[in-house]
Amino acid sequence: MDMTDREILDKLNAEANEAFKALTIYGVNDNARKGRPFIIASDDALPEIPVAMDISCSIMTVAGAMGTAGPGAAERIDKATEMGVENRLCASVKMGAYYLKAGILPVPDLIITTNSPCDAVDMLGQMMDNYKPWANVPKFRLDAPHGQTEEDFEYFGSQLKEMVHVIEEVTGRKLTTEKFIEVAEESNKQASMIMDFQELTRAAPCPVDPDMARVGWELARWVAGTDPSAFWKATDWIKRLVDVTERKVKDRKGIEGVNEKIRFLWYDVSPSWGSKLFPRLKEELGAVCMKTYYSFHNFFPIDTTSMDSMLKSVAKKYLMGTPMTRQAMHTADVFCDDIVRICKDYRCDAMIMPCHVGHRDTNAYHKMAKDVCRENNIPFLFLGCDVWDERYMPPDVVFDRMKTFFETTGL
Amino acid sequence: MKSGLKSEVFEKFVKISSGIMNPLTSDWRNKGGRIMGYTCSFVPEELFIAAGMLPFRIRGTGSRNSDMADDYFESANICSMIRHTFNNVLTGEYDFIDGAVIGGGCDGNRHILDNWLKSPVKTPFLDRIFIPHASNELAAEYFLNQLSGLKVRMEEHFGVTITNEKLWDAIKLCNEIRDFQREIYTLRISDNPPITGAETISVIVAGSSMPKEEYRDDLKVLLSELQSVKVSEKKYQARVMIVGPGHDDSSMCDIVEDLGGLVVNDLTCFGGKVIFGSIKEDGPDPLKAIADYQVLTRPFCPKNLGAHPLINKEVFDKIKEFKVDGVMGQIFLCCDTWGGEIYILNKELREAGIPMLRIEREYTADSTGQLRTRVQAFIETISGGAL
Repeated sequence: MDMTDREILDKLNAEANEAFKALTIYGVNDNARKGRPFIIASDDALPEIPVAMDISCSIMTVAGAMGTAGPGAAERIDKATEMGVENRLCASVKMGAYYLKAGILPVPDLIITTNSPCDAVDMLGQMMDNYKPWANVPKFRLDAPHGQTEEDFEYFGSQLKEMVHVIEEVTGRKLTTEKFIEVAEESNKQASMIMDFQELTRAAPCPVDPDMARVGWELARWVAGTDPSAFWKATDWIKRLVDVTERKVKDRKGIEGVNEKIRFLWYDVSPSWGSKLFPRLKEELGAVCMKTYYSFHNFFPIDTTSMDSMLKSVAKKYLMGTPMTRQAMHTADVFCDDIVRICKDYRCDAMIMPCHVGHRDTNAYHKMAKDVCRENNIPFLFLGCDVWDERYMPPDVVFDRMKTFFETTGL
Repeated sequence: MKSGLKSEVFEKFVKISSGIMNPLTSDWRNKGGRIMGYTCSFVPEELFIAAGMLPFRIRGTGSRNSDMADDYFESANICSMIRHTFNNVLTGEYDFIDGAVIGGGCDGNRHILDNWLKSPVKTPFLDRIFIPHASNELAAEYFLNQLSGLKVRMEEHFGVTITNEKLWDAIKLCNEIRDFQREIYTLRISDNPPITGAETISVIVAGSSMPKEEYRDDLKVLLSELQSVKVSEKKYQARVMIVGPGHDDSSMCDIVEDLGGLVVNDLTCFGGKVIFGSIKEDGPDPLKAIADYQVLTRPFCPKNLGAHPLINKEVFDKIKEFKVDGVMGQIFLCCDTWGGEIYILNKELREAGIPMLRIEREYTADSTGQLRTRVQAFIETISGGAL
């Protein structure tokens, strides 16, 4: 018997939740035991390269962020804070640093650190660089430029070329042009399908929770990096998502159980306590979160003409297309233009600026964001919460503030 | 604690460093000279000097609150040094400058430009350069391109030609200044230095706020005066080194030195980091020499990937050379770069048996009660409690 749309979406979610275990601290340790060369990166390390080289790559900030959710999260965050790092350091980074201090991480074959997307991740990289049990592990450092010109992409692409040489030297694996093209083409396909999904979610009522774009992206990037086979599986996952969404649009069906009344932009990372907020907003207020940093995507295809063109376009894709890197690394124009574009394209009625305590970029841009919303008649709410630590501003408080805001703005 | 230094030149430096606009800058402006503001020590003054301008490092000196800047930068989550500095921009303290170049040394600093551009303060020339986070040839080349672009934009805007000859002259001048500054630092190796840490900060900060030739000449005079001073009496309990971000006023040194410590060295963005090394004075391209210096010679900024071993070496070398009893690692709240660096350094210093006091504070030293207690306890501890 054919599955219902709801069953398909539930299955997709269940599969994703299972796959995300690979991103946790336990997953990091599992990845080290898979028999492949194993890299630990401070942040997103462009999965196309490890996938094409059949290498596992785990990401410290992602493991850190995963550690801020679930049972015992508050205690872990407190322990991380007690270590003596800067008090207001982003908790996902603090948690990564805590994992280092706790000595529970495996020894990788290579460490890749970067300053992207922010100073805090840069510092986590410095801690990884100076972590004694990893003293003899080869290290590669990626300097992500803040500009958005061809020169910047060229600079970053040249570093990727060097990075590939280092990975080859350390692991003995080769990045062949043929394999890289195959992976790049698949990556382009995945990105294109995520764009299709985004287009479909413009429909009113919104057919499927737009956050599924984040889930698909994380499967194709982060989970894929940990195990190359997951990269190919992600394509199928995204395709099934697009198929069900397309069908729901044709049938003019909205999100199951939601009477959509309000569409809003949550302009930051989706919080680790989001399950205590977003379902309530949908069910009680009919308020659908149309976009977050990680559910908003732009299409930067990889140019498969040559190895150099692939590396340069992967660089561009990384710098301009990686969520959070896009918002945090570049100028205010990118940040503000995206707000207007998202609100227009996805018919958002309001913009919520969570302003996570550890995000220096959004905390430096809040006036600009407010002004640009005013100019474009987009109701704007500033929160000032911690997306990883729900004690800072509990989800109930966030809900109440958003509810009052929607009421007072007549939404 | 004061050294008792009696020097007209020194008094002049104190006046200049304790405010923003000063008579020398005002005089320069009245004579038709242009002034270029900048943030971050990685923005090369040499380029502005070669353009015939007076480089003026933008700082938050004198700011008592950051009310206006807090409208732009969320007060709880952005370093107060950035907020006070930008507050000074908003209150018109920097209305005398013809332009400003913002260096992206850290996330907070980088965003000053974005907010400045959207603010009511209409500075005729506002620009930025992206500072690499790596220290290698590729990064130096990237930075050279940044500088070349800035040079062209400055030439177009101000109608000047920045020749290689002018750049070499500017390099020589700044190298001379750094040489003198380092000599002053070296005097503090002595058991009874002729100048305190707080006084040294004033001397260094003044250098980024007045005409360079005059500063060089004054510095030479001050150095000679200091070399002739004989201090026979030990006036302190412990020798302290300060490590951390922008240290553009003497307040922290004052606290240490009022409580019996003596700051004999620092690795901060307005001190030890600024005076480090020299730019090569030969080669075909002066701009390349500047880029190489900033990226390859002085990678002591914690924003630089892989900088920690270099910072560690610099700190440990200075501890030995300057006979430091204890290190104070200061962090401004929300400073992610120095926050991480001090965390790493703290562990290493402790392992080496070198006492370290980690201080998280705001940029303005208004609430000093608790700070004083901690510093006093630290000085007592590292000095063994005896004068």
